[in-house]
Amino acid sequence: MELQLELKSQPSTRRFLPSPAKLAVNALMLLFTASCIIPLVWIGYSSLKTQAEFANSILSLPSAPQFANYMEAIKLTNMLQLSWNSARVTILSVLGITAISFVTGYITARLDFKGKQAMIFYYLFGMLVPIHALLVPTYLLFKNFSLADQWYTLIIPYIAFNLSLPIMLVSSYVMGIPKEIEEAAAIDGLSFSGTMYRIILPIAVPVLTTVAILQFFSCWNEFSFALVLLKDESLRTVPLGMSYFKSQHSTNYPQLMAGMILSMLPVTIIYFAFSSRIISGVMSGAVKG
Amino acid sequence: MKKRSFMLGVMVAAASVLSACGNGENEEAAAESGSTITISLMHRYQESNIGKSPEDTAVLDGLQRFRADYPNVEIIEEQLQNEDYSIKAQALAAADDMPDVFIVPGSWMDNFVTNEIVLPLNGEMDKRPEWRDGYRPGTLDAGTREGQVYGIPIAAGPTHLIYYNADMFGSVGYDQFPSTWPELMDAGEKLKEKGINLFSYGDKSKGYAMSSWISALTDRINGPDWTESILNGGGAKFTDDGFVKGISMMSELAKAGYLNKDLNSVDTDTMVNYYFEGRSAAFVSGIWSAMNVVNNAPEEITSATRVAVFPGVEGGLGNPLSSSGGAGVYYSVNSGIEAGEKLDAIMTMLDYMTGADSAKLMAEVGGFPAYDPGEFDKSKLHPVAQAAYEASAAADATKIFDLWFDASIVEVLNTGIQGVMAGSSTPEQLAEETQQAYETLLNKP
Repeated sequence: MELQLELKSQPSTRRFLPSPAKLAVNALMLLFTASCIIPLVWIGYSSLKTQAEFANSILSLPSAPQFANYMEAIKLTNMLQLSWNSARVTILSVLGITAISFVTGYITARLDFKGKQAMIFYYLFGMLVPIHALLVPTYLLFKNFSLADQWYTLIIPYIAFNLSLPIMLVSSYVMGIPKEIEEAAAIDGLSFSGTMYRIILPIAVPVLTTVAILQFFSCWNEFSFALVLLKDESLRTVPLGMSYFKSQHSTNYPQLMAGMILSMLPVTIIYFAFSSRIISGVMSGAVKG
Repeated sequence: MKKRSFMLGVMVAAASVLSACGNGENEEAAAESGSTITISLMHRYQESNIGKSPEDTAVLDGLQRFRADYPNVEIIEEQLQNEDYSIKAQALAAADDMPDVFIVPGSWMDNFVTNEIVLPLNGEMDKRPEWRDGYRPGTLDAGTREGQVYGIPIAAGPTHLIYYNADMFGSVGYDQFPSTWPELMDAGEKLKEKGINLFSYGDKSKGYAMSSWISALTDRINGPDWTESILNGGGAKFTDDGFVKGISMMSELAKAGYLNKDLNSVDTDTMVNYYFEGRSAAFVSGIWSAMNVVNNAPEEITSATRVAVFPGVEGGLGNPLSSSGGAGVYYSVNSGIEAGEKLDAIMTMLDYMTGADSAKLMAEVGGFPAYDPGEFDKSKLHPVAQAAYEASAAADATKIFDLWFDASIVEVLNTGIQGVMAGSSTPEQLAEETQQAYETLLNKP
């Protein structure tokens, strides 16, 4: 009887009295979490203040919530148009990136050919060149080919400049898939492209999902190309729209924050919906690679 | 093969003849029916700022009036926020693809003139003497090179005014803003005891110190001749006592703890907010901050706000009332535009956007236009905006260094002053570094 009691009480003391080291680690993690969440909470309640309230004290809570800021932000920026433009460009770019990175990643992982190393280096190099160095040449190219200022303009650089990392991810993931599966498929008479699409594609879905989600954020938030390549205001994307809240010498912070919350909504929803996929995708790529 | 290339040649020739005819006919037809002229315009004035910023309000009102009066002119307009404009305009300029009309900050003017991006406008201005002569004295200067006007100024406000809380200064025994530097330091000490900063200061974006402090302060001590001598290579040096003294006065304010400690890591928006929160008794800024105080400060702060300029300096050679100022931003025309109907339309549009009517409106809503608005209705102006306007009109405008000095010197000063204010370098060191950059510039072939 006594023995049983002891056994029962042991785990309970463990649960309630963790070691100091664990406590410290947890506290540290909590601090990190807070440092990410507090700014979001602050943006959230600040978006409900009047500008005078905000100027009076940056940290205080709103005295009476101003939902008018949201209405004003939607009206001022034509938020629906901005979101539609962003969504159209982003979704098509992400589809393009995922498709191209799958094929290229598979080929670099599985085939040996002349110039393969140079190709891989070329893609890696893409990650090293800062976007701002490329703005002027890209603009010139687009202008000379009459590609600037169209609804599809941004899709081209978004796909081109976002390929490096996805190709690396897919490539390392494919390397982790046993070759025997493909050999078996080949023996059964499946062609190279058949193997790629019918055997490997379903296995690579986790890493492709990761690629798609990561690139969704990158394209949705992109600013520099959208600024330089577009003139027509009706084509502007969400990040450009945020500038409506700034004037040369002052900024309407509560409205800007309302606009930010609205612009963050789609990406936040997507993140929460797919967060487990993102993590498992990155992990599987990492472990198998 | 020969036959094919001959055919190709014939087709190309025919196409070019036909297209040339076509163009000619189109142009004539357009002229006859008075139909569309298209002007592309890129500027940093936004509809979302109408009513908040005097410049945006006046310029866009002018544009709207022009559109109504000239329906045959189509304007393809692109409105961009200030920093976004800088990024895009520089990219377009590098690609030699500027729109027909665009904004050029004074500090870019040298570069744009040298690279023949902007059109000289003397001929066009001379056709419209009444408009040309309406600009306040000196406002065309920073847009003029070797006698040729390349830019039409918009606003001309001083970049140095002091907005101060009269109640706070009253509570430490000053009925008005201190009239000498020792008095100012004394007020700073008394305010510090109450836990209030004398000035809030925000130089995160580099350039604030130069435009709102250094240009005015150096002029108080050295007088305008020193600045001219620097610009002409006439022997003045940055290591001269006057310049070092001006920088020292700024660093003493920081050292004594009269400014906010985070002075290099907050921007001017935050600096103004500190004043609104009552954490400082004053801030130094341009006339553009007047409407910010009127629109956004809590009521008790707005009603206590008055406007002043730096006090005179004992033994100083400059006018103690002067303020750094003048026009800083210009509308320029693409050098590819030829004289004719289109250029006429552009000049008329610029008259609408910056000339008499627009200037009057800008003054009425609290701005300081480059074009002299003459008499205007001051009844609607808030007392703070009116005080800022009057201080501006009374002040001698002295040159803003960042518009006039070479970019290499501006860069050294903008970066160096942060070190001095943070206490990591001395005014003497900054003066020495600036002088070195200046000498390098002078020795350039």
